[in-house]
Amino acid sequence: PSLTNIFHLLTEIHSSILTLRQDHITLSTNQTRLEHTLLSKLDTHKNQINSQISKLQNHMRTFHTRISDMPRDVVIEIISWIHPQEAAQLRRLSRGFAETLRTPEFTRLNLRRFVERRREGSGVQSLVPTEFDRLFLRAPAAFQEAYLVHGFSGMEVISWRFQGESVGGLKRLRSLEISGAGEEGCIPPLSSLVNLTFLDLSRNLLSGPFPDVRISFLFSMLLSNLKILYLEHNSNLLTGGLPFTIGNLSNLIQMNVSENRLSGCIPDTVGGLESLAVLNLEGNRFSGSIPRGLELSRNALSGMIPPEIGNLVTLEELFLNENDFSGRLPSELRNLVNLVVLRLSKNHGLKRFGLEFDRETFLSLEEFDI
Amino acid sequence: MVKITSSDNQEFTISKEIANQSVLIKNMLEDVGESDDQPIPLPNVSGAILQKVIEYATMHKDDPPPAPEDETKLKTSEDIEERDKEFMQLDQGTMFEIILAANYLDMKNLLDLGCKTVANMIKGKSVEEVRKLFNIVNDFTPEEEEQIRKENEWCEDR
Repeated sequence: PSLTNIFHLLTEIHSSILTLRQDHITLSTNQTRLEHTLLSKLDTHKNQINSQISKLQNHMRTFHTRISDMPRDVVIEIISWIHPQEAAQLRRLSRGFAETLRTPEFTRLNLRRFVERRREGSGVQSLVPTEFDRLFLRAPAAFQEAYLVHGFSGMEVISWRFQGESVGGLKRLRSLEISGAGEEGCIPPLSSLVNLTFLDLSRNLLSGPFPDVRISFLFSMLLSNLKILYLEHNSNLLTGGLPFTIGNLSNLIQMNVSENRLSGCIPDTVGGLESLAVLNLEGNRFSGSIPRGLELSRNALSGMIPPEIGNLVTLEELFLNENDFSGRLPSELRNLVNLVVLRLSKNHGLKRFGLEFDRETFLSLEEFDI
Repeated sequence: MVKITSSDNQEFTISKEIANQSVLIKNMLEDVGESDDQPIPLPNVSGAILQKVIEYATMHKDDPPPAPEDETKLKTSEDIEERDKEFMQLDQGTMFEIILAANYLDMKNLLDLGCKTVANMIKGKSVEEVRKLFNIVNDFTPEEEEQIRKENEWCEDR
């Protein structure tokens, strides 16, 4: 073969070698790529499998957490969804439950779930007690307090014909009527009811921490805004005398304390109650000494003039004119031998017969108007 | 995306809208800022429970924002969506774990759901039945039991 031929052949061989080398590089690159891809795929698979395994493990896992492991807040949340009457029963479950369900937090949340708030209202509202009212007013004081604050704190007038033990939270209340309570009533804490103008506690068989409630204790809770006070027919309970602090009730227009067991003297300060239009002291045991002059004219004092008035032997002036006294004049009036002035006129129901005002008895009498 | 790790070091990657359903995580994210790539550790929740919680959050991610609470409208434990009822078909242990997690993660809706579910299990059962259902040990002395019975007279059925 010619030299030219050999040269061509060599060139071809060289080119082939180059191609081969190129192929080899490509091949090894591809191999690396392939290996990489495979590995990463494997990795993904491995991850997926691992995650599947952990998922499976998760599903297999059992927990032994119990209701008793729940923190107090959570137990309160849970039981708050149960009707208060049923929820209170759950205090019997265990000490822990009893303690949790006694907290004010629980009562508040429980009430929020079940009891509608009364609409804030102006003006006089009569209130028909609901199922819950009846339930909660038999409850211990702590429950009542929470209940009243929750449901009634916007109310201004409450008229209940059954007992109300704790009304202390009702700061806006203007009118409170609790009558006919029966044997278990007791005197509500009234001193926080700063807006109270009408209070009717009549015809209750009030009872409280003491077997008898001295009326002075009741009065110590009353505030000067009070205009109308009905305490009649609480004879098994209210005792003692009217306190002189009655004079602080400067806005009092009507007061009825008739048919109680009140005793002692009627304090002077009653005379200073300038707005007082009706005062009924009937059926009590008032007695004792009154200052030399008793001026109660131009009021609307009603009822019988008590026979005890005869005990006021030192009395020199007695003005009972222009009132609403009724019944017979007590013969004990004859004991008032020191009277200088006596006025009884303009008491339309007063029967004046049967009593003579003779000079022999009333030696000092100068003015006389019956 | 947000990374969270459970008490048993399982890592979960969740979307921000899912993460934000937990007030706890939401506050944490706000504190550390967007840029931080570190996973948020949740040492009080196990992976298994976290998985369930994420399942719940995913189910509710498109819920409209809650309406402002109407004080006068009373809600009851019977108000539970059907899908939530199904979600709560769990053994007691898991259910209480989820409640604890919801409490810890501050997820009000899930906590409400859990509590309502347990309340519904209690309703209408006698004290003895509830004790049996939840393995509650009566640790009262007879005197204490009598005392509570007396205290409860006001709320007994009339």
